[in-house]
Amino acid sequence: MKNSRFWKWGGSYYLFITEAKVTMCLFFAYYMFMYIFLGWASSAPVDSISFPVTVQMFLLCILTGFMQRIIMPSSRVTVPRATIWGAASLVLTVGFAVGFGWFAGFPLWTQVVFWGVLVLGLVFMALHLHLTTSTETRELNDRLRSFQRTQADERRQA
Amino acid sequence: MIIRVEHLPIEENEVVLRCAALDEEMLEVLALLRERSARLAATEGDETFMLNPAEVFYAEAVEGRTFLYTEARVLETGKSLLQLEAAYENTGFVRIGKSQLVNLYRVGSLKSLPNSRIQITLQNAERLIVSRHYVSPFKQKLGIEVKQHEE
Repeated sequence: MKNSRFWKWGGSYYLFITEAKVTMCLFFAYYMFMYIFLGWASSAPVDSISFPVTVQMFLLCILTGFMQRIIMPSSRVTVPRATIWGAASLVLTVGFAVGFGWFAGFPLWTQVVFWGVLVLGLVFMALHLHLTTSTETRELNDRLRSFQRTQADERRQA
Repeated sequence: MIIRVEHLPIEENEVVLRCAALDEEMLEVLALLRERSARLAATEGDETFMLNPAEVFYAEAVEGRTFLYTEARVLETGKSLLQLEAAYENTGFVRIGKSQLVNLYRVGSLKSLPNSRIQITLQNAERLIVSRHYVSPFKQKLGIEVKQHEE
């Protein structure tokens, strides 16, 4: 009994983590790449990521991934939920970057680019959601009309 | 097959099929006639009505009872949702949830929702939702090819 309860809890916890991992990986890759790229492009005295900053970024990605699963699970993907999650992850990222001084020594424009690309990514995600659903809506209605017409024609002919 | 229509002063329309044997063609005609003339017994209060299935917008099972929703009325039927689905599948009835069937001929429009569900707006402006589990068969019924991962 205890064993099955453990597997039930453990299984759902494991699924929760694995479903969040794609978001975690994407954000981690983005933070790492942009941080190094902006350091190189701005000639800031940073051309590598220190271990503490890596751990901070990793923690931030875990939180962002978990927040996505909680606020916007796959069964409840809606534009309002996506906006809440996007805003929350943005606030968290700004909090981590400012709180831990990630951009100390970087010119101000690098931070603008860092946040700008992040916001743009979230906007594109919402746009993708909107385009996918509107395309599918069009197809559904075309097929519905065609179904209603075809069946009516078949009956008339019969 | 010879088709002859006779206009006579009779009270109720009558169809007589004459054939040497019930071949495939005749069976199809019979099936069509049965489907067209099939009436669904449903009650509203103390009264019992014989409904044309085409009048039904959707059917819903609530606590073991099955209700039929027409444009402006709610009637109860003795048939289960499963029986209705089996009997009227070919007349546009399709399952949209564990406890709901919808008549596709009474659907005004459809809207895809971001969470893999579909919103149905009926001709009387009432709204229903196709739950995720039934989205694939619903799309297939409309002739939309469903990708493997969507099933």
